[in-house]
Amino acid sequence: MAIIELRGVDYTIGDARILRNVSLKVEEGEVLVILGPSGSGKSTILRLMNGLLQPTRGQVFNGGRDISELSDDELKDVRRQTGFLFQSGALFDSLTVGANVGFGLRKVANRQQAGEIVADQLRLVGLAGTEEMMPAELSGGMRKRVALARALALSPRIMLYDEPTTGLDPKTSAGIIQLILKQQQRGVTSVVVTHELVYARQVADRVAVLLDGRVVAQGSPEHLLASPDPMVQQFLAGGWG
Amino acid sequence: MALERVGRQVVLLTQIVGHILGGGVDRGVTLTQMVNLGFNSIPIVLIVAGFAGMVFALHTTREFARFGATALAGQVLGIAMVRELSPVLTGIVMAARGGSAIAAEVGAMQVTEQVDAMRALAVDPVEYLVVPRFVSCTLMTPLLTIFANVLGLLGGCFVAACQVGVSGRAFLESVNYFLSVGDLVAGILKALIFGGIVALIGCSRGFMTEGGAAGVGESTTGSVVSAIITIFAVNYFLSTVIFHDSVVAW
Ligand SMILES: Nc1ncnc2c1ncn2[C@@H]1O[C@H](COP(=O)(O)OP(=O)(O)OP(=O)(O)O)[C@@H](O)[C@H]1O
Ligand SMILES: [Mg+2]
Repeated sequence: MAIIELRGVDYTIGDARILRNVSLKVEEGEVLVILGPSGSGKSTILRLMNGLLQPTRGQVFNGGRDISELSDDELKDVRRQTGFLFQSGALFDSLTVGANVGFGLRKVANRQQAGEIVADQLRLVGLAGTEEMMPAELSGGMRKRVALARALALSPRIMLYDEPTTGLDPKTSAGIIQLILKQQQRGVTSVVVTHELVYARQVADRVAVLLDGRVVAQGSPEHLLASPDPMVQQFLAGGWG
Repeated sequence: MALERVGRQVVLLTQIVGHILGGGVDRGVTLTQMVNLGFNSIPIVLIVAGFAGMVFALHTTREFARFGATALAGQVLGIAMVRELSPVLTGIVMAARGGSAIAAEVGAMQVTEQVDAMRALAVDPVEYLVVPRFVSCTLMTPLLTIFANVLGLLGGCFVAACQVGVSGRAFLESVNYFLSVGDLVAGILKALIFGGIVALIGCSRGFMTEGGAAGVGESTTGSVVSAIITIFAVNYFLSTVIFHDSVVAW
């Protein structure tokens, strides 16, 4: 059964049609990579998947339930199960690294448990012992990794990654790819948004190509590389992004 | 646009009340905000209220002295200060210092996706960001108003005694004689409402912020302007209702 599904989703802001008739399924345990050039609507899709945005038309299902029909508490449960790595990191800049990573744990763990989880997660992303630092003291790559630790701290069943490797050096990127794969081995379903083909091929079970708010192709990476669609081929050849 | 804003503020207010009644107030964050918004505003409130009392007494005491009615000088300042000047001036200080800080902070968090990050972590931004600020403002504005009352009256007394030559003691006695507990309570109640207005407008403007640093600036200015206008308008209606049949006993 699909753990996340978008059915005929449109998303518009004013007159701008950001997404048009997008239908996507994410199967439990798989890694779906959404590939697309800048501005194609990738971040918007992720935000629809955990209910940060509501579709203008169509339906979004998470865990088998229509997100627009959930109560506030049910939506919170869905979000606890759905980790989100923001493209910008979106760290709370008035809180320490430790408080950032432990933020979602405030209501589900006591102080000591939370402290242990935070230390574990920071170790996992290679930033052990940085609990007392402030986000402003971190480099861009470190921030992204703290944000990743924060998203993983609630042990979600689903992870949504918005450009996890963009702007990072190859070594850090490789580390993050390893982390995504490790999560997958633990049975975590992942949706990875990127415009970097190299990394997409390393993690993807399936790829969906998004161009100008439309899904123009879906399938295994091999299937996609063999796609006759000229738009897809142009994108894969580096014509965009 | 303005109507939409008011609508959102009403929705936000009901959410806040819901959280407070449900016991969902984060003590730690609230305490921090009480220090930031309230405690740190004490000096400016004292200065503003002190000078307001002084300038008010400068005019009234002199006029009353001409008619030999110096005993009334304290009374007039007392009523003006406690009923109107202290709560309104404190409200304005809170709007300028606290409301702007709230709108800027929440606005910056909004445009840098920190508010969304909070939602994504299943934490309600109303509970975590708004309720503590609302509670601190509604508690600290009345407290600051009490300080403003004291400094305003002392300032007036100082001017009456040193510049006009009315005995300071007679001045304070006339304040004491004519001022009722009801006046004090009414002033404090108004201050509580002004505090709520400041926090509500600051937070809702913060959440509505769009478009980066410029947007944050707009929200900040906008929140101060609307809070001050709202305070003056609401004050007029509250005073009409509260003091509708109050005649000062001569
Ligand atoms: N508030 C807004 N008003 C109007 N248009 C918007 C707004 N927010 C986003 N857009 C438009 O929506 C489109 C999709 O945005 P989105 O952030 O989903 O793209 P993306 O694929 O994630 O791009 P990137 O790779 O650069 O992050 C963009 O063309 C953008 O211009
Ligand atoms: Mg994006």
